[in-house]
Amino acid sequence: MPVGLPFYLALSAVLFVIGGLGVLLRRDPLVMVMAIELMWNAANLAFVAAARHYGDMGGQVFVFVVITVAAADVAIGLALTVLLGRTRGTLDADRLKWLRG
Amino acid sequence: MDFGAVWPEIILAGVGMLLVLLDPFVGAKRQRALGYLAVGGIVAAGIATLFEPRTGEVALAGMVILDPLSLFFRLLFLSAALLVTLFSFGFLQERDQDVGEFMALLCFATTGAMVMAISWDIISLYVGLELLSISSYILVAFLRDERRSHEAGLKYLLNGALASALLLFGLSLIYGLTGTTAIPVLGRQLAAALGHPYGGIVWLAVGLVLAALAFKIAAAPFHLWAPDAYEGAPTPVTGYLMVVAESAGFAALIRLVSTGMGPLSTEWGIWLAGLAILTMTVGNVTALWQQNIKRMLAYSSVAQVGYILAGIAVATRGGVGSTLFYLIAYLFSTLGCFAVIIALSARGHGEQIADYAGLGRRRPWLAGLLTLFFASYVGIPATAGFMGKLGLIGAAIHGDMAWLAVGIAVNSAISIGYYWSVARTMWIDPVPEAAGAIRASAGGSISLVLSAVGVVLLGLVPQMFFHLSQWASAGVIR
Repeated sequence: MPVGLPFYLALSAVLFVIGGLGVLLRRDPLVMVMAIELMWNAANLAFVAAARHYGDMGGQVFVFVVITVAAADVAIGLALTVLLGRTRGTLDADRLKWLRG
Repeated sequence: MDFGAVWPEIILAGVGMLLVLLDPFVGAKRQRALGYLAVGGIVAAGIATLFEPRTGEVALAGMVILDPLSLFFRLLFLSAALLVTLFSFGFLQERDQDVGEFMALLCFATTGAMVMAISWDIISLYVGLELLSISSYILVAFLRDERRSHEAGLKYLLNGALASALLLFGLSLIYGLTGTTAIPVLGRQLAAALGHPYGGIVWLAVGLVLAALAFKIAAAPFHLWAPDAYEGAPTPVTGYLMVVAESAGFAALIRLVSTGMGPLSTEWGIWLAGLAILTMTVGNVTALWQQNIKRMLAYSSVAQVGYILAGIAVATRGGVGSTLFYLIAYLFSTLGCFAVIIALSARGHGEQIADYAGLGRRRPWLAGLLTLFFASYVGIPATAGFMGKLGLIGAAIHGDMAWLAVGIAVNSAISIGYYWSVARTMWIDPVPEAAGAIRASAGGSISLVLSAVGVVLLGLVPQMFFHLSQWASAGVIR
């Protein structure tokens, strides 16, 4: 049986859910950023698979854009995490008491 | 390639990069000059916008469209950026902050918002969104010696990145179903895909996209990050995010949902209407308990987002038109409020509602203008907000959603409660012993006067703006 688009989409859905659980269950900002990256990459997988399926370049271009943006996003996330870790000595998202939702 | 289509964005991004380059070579005393450069860049981009075509031509390989809506949103974002720039000067210098860096980030964020508004493809929409978001994360965390600002920045980043993940996954599913990234095409393909055996995925994809955009505009129940980020951010940035970042979210909603997913409008219309009612109710009721004025305005902006969503939910041209009109009214009322708050906030002081006691006796003009902006938020006749709400209620009734109109009216009545409590503090309570200093900078006063003129003009002679917003919404519903 050939591995077609539905299989890739299913795998990307699984990755997306794993990432989502990571964001909800882990409280370390560093790990939360990693989990969010996993969700972004789940979308990337779906884009590449679909682009291959349709023979369309749009999805592949989109993936390059997403990879670049993800790098910028992580750079800011790490900088802020380091800054907070230095001033507060803790990296627990629940202990960020200054502000409460 | 036809780069002429994006001259305003090129100018603004260019000025931003120039600011980054010049910033290290400009001494602390001359930093004001960098602010003037940013003002010049914003004005130049506005002039360039007026020379762009507005006939709906598509440029840059189908990435952007130049139609009346593009013109409307470009001018809206640039006006907001100009007002924010003007009242940021004094705020930054009082706190020894780097003016050049701040202005550069403001230029980049505004460029991102403009790219979102002119996008005609999900790729350019996403690039604009991220340019706006990433610049905003840094702006929120801008105050180097305030932990509150860092925390707000990190919370905004985590929530923003999560929203981007939802949007990306929703878009990837849409791409998987339709095989296209072009906004004008994907709606028809999605409607066709509904008939397939896996048609249920269409609803998952549309739901993910709507949830992600609801995150970005801070609509309930996806608004929980907003009060924290808005309270911790530097005050001018709070005003900027409430107006520009949220209006950009609405621009994306209009492009992607009203136009792109137009064929499915009967279904998502109901979802958005429910979201609108929930958002305005949650925002108004929570705002009643707030002690901090920035936090109160954050919840009040959640409520305003609920009203604005109502115009998109009815999925008619009149609905989008009244949404656009309300966005102008919201811009002037919000930035006016923030110009007053900035005049009152010395370091760590002047953010509690109690700090406003006796303002009516100390500075009757400031208190009077703040009362005017609140009146516009509530929708008192002869202010911008009244005309805006009239338009939204009319659109809801014409769109067969009379219950939505009732919701707007009831919520406006609830909102009087918290605005009145601030007004009472200002006008009736005595002046406290240790009252903080009030410093209205020249730039702050200019933006205060401009906002007040805007609010009164929109309230007394709204015809011109009604025509503008109806004209801009012409091509939205196809």
